[in-house]
Amino acid sequence: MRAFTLCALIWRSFVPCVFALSLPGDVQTPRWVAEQIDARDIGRDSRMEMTMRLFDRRGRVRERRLGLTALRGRGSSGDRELVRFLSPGDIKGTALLVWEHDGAEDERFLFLPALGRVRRIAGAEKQESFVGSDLSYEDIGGRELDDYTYAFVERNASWKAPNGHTCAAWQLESIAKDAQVAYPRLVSLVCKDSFIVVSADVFNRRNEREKHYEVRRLEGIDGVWTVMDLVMTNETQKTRTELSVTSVRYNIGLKESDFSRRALEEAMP
Amino acid sequence: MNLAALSAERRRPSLRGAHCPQRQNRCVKALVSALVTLLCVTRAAEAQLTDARSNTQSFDGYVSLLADAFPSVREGGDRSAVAELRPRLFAEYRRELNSRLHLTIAGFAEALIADRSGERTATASIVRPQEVSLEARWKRADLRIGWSRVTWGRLDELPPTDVVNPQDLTRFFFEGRAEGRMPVAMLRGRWRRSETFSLEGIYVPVFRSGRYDQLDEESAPFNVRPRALCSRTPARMCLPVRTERLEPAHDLANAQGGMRATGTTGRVDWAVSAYRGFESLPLYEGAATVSASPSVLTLLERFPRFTMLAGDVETVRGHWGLRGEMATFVDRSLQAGAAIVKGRVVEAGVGVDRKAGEYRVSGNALLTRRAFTGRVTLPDNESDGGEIDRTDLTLVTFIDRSFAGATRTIRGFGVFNPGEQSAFARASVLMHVRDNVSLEAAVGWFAGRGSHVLARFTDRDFVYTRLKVFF
Repeated sequence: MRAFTLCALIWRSFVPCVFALSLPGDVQTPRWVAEQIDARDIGRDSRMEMTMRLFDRRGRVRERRLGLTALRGRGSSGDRELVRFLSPGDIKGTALLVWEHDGAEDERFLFLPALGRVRRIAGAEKQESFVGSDLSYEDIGGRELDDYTYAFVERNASWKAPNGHTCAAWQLESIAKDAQVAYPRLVSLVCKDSFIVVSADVFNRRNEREKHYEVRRLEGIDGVWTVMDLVMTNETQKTRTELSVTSVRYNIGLKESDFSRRALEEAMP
Repeated sequence: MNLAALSAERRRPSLRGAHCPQRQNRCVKALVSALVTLLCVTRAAEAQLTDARSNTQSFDGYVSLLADAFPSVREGGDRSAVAELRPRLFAEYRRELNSRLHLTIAGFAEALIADRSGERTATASIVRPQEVSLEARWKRADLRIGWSRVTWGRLDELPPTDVVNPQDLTRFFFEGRAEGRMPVAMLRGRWRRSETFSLEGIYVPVFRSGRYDQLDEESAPFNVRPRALCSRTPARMCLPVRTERLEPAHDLANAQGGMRATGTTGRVDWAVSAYRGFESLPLYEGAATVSASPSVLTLLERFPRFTMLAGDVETVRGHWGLRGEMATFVDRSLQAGAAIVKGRVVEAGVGVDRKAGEYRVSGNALLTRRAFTGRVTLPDNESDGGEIDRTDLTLVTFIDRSFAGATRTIRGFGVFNPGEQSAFARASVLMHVRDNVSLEAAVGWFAGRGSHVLARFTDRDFVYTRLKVFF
């Protein structure tokens, strides 16, 4: 089970929030909120392109374009995701395929154009940086629901987006069961009407706020709430990463074969 | 000397140190015209694609300038410094002609301006295809035809089963095996029964040899072609060497090819393969009787046949990637002094890799057993089976770390033969000064004396720096 996806985000419909608001308040436990984030309808599949802008401490920016296709798992098979770099030239064509498995280790495959073959690779540490950005693999791929315990900080918070969009929200604290992870504590703001994490403070082992996540633009696309712009700031290193979705489509009929090792090798960037 | 065999081979005589100013001029003109043409084509294509760029076609590439230096190359008893400049333009165009047909056209133009051995300025230029292929894809099969590159094997940098494409040794030592891989004309078909089993067949109709360097190979620092042969008598008489290249003729009988079955059992990927091919780098055979001059020894460069049977596996356990590979060359010709002898070679290796903190590290151990099985020709009394019946352990390590938002990368690569204390190490620093501009500096170091292949490159230590601009 995955929960608390900050970036992989993006998908989740209105349907569960209607259900959520109809429940009595005492049923809405912190754990239940986390489960709703995980259980949102994000479509059967999706294909999106995004631009990642990495700012260093001097404000210099490096831009990467990447494509992300995802297939929601059915039955015993978990989600499948394929990330492919579209630019810059030195990493163009590099692609990562992830087969998630409930209750078992995920399988990961890497395609490097220069190597010309698909290579099975070990999983990255979940809280490691994703391709040099301020986002972690966990931010991209989602957190394991059972790896955390949850508590409300504030039941009646609110959130206002830069574009004026507002929502009632829960402020939720998530504490990692494994205290040795790099970021054991997360305080996040979860919109009640969409179950999307719209803001989060990420604390390091010294309980210092090290990273701050903020959604800048949220849109409903094909009935699915989609985070179109977000920023993750690393306050310790004075760096930040901005992610903008440039195109997104849901329920386009992707099949498991679109997430095979052959697809990883053959798809053109 | 087997005259019948010679008649079936292409002869390419060469004498080291040959100097030809006219050839240089032609090279420079060819380079300039090739670069201008390629640049024009590049810009025209880019302009066309700016608006038309879509998911069905792509065009990109890079321009690079590499400056390298070999501080002390030893030729016989002499030492000299080498400095080189290598501008390069690489472009790749890929297009989906329809849902089934995929076209790839990639190639490069590269030039060399070098001060080699302090005797002359070497210039050369080439325009070469890197991939010119058409691939048809069906639901369960695909077929590729053209000049292409195929990777077999699982281990890093020295996989025993990666025998389909020859290597450019200069690029191998500078940049690694992937960059050194040279395309060959091939027909490749794959049939995929399922996600967990596929069968691959490769047919290579025309032989293409590996190169010490694709640019002015004769004077290349990594060209370890024998320059002189010396007797082992106390008087130690040496004869200069003239080489004559005898490549397999372009006919049906000299085709190469193989099969590879790939499967997945649980989380273990495995493959078994068989390949019948030619040695991509030459073996040398003394042929004093055909020398034009009694004071020059002629060596024939031959590319003997080999047959390989191999298997490899790959899996992941926790944070560890585990890989293994074994190849048996049931008939392989081996170099023994100035003779080529029949032998058998078994190469087996295991490798691990993992992320360790900020570092990605991998280590491979490769065991090579060479056995003398018979004699083809032994014109030189020095040669005997004892020289080639040997077992070598080769350790390969790789480490890299990226930092500063992946804009800086440091890499280390090492090969070590503990038996002979021979080694090769390369360290590099890569810096992305802009999204599309990178600057790289590297140093390569060889050590050891002996008959292991690495020891042949001792005194070829190098440094280089390269500027690369992607478009």
